[in-house]
Amino acid sequence: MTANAGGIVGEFLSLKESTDADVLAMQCGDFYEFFADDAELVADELDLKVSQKSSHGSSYPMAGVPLSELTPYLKALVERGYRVAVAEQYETADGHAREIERVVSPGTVVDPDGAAARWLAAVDYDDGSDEPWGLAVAEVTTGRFHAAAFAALDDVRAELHRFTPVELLPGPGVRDDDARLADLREATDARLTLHEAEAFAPGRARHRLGDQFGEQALAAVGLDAAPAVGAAGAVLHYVDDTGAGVLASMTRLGGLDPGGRVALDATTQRNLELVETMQGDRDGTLLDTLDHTETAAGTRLLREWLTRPRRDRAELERRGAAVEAFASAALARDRLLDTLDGTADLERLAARATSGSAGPRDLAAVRSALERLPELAAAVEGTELADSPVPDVLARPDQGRRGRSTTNSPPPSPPSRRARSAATAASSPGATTTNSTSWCRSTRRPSSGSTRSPSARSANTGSPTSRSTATRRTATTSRWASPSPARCPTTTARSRR
Amino acid sequence: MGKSVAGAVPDHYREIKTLKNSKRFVTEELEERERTVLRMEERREELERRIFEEVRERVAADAELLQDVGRALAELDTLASLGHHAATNDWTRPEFTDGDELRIDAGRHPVVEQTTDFVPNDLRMDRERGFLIVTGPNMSGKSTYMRQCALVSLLAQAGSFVPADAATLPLVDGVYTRVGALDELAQGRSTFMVEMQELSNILHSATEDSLVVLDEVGRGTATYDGISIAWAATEYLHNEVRAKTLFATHYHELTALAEHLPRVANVHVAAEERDGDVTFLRRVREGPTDRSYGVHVADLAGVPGPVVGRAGDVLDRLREEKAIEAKGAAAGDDGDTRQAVFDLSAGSSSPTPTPTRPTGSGGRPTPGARRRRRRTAPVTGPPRRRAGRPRRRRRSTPRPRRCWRRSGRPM
Repeated sequence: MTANAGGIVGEFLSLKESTDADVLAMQCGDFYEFFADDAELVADELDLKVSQKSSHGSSYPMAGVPLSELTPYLKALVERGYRVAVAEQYETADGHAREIERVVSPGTVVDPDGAAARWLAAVDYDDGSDEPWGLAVAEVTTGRFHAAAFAALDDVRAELHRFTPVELLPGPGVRDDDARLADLREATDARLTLHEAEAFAPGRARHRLGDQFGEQALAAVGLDAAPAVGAAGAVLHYVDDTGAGVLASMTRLGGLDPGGRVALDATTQRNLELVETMQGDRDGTLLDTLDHTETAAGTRLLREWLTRPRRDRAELERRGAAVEAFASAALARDRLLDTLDGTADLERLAARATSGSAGPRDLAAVRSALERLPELAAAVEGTELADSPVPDVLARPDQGRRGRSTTNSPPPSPPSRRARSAATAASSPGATTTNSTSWCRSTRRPSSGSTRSPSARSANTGSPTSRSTATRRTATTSRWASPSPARCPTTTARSRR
Repeated sequence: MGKSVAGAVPDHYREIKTLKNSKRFVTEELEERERTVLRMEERREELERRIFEEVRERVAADAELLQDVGRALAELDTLASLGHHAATNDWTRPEFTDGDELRIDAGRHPVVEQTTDFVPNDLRMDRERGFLIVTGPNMSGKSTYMRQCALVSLLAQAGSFVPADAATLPLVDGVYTRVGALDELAQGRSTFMVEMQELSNILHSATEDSLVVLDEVGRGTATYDGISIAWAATEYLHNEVRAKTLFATHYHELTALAEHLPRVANVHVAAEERDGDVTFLRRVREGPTDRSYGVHVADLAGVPGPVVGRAGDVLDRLREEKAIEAKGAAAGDDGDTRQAVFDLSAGSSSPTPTPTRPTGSGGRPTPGARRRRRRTAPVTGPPRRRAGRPRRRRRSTPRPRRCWRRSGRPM
């Protein structure tokens, strides 16, 4: 078909052939068009109208959506498990050309609306290692990243049940073995995506992880087993490869409860109806019953706590004391919850800002969230909450600036890490094209033409001006969280940057 | 301008459009102005975009801080939410102990208590009492009781308060729950295979610091297989794994284990019979349940009198004459394989009013059970059948029995 189809359909078909995505959306002027099989598929799934496009004597089904309306359609396709490649049109000296800019997949879609986390996972197996199973999970909308090695498939199953990833990359050690692949398939509803095997190679993966998280990060979370390192590297590679542009928001490598783990296998999680009833509903679950949170991020964390109980007594006592304070201080609690009500999802907005997909409204949401911080601090100060572990929670972001001794990852100084990821972005061949249209992509209206704007992020990462403005701004944002100035020498801490 | 004057325009006016009553013209100067406006507009757009991008870059440069702040807010939200739930539902802060003691006073099920007037129950376990066999009629609340115990432990180790008046808990390294005969046939594996795989996982993974909750495990197969597996699993969990275990079963025979294994104790969910009605009290009490309500329910459901009477006789006889010995009793492991042996020859001493039919119901002993029974008198067909019928009512595979129960229950 490709051979005899010329013109725009021919271009579409040859672009389609160059990608392993299920569907291709190609920009043609003010529309994104789907042709041939893709048009039929999209029409079926999204209820679009199919028309016929004649091209060089043959007729092809065609469906299209206006430029400004691609996002909801993309989301719908991706939620149904499809990977969608998006080809953008740009002007060249002699007319225009089209290129696949990004591949949106269930695990890499930056979706600010849905409250639930959308985990991307990779699993690999290598029996040469004591802990032959490796699992890595990443959430591109919040920049979370965890990886760990496991001795038994059951542990992997339990984690998969916990995270319920939407997309999973099986490594060579899994997909080359029918039984293991079948086991994995049964353990998750995630879409399985075959990503290139070399991405799982431990050597390359180690290097990539070092670049992203700092050289000592692997050692700090005790990640050494080849399959675990490989899985983590593959996740990074995949995120980079699909052009979601959110690599930079993944700043910290976390383990999966080193030491204090409480075994809670998938069957038990189901039986106890923690986050899903036996019938698959959310109503009537433990999470549903307990959830009085006001923010999406709060719900996500509560879910995490319930599915990941701990043995670490100090941590449990800390939470217990904080809950006790909240239980007894009804007024302060209500004030705090009221203030939190409707607060934007900063974790996600940060990721969107990094990927260049944040629009003006998103930034306004960041501002209004930050504006509430003084009131939150006031809700705690001078109440019963002040003598509990609650103020420490508020102060943590500032403490994090100073040394991050409480987190899993090692404390490489933030500027150097940022510089490193900037370097990665700049040196990786896909990065420039990926990022360069990011601003256009989210804000371009059909009428504004399709001029390619100069790179947003690559300019950002290296520019000394932006660095200094950043410092100024951070100093401002940090002030909020220090109930007592003595506890949080924010300004001095920040000045190192 | 209007058509009437359109003819009088100067030469440098260039006509660009004719409308119904007017014509539009453009001049060099106007065109120049238009270009300027467009250029300015473009520049404005460009400037707007550049400024916006700068702002966004500044935000992006602090992504890590924003994430930290976001996570701190999430934690405040979660803690406040847990505090709210604790305060409005009368929950209590659990105490953690380094010892073996597990004590829940007036524990409730966190979800069920929301919708019903819940009867709270205690749970006590310690070094000497680490394995509870929970008996009681079906639908009496065994499953809810056991689940609430697991949930209290789990909530405590999530950092939450717990639904109880008081709780002293050890820090467990794992919580394992299994429910027998979950219908997973749709997934292509046999129910019983699934059940056994899950049991196998527990027996491999649980440690003496784990909390294990088994609900009717073993019921997914024929009675003799089921009871044998339940028996052996109990011994293994008690002797080898030593995990804190709650085991609900309708195999009343298992209650005899308390006499043989030192850490096993019986509790039962009480039901009361008054004026021919069974009332579920939903109270957990010490000791095994004193009778089975299966035969009673058969009566209530209108099963003919002679059948009910005969079922009662057979049941009594089975109870009297069963012969079970436990492994791991005071003498320790003797390696003997005598276990879960039933003496069914009892029925042969009674006359047999029903005609012989081929066996093959759920009550039929498996080849293994038959082999082990060899030391008792040979079993004839009819009595085995007779013994099998009431047993089927009481304890064969769960689905048919459940259906029967549901449709037959008077309320």
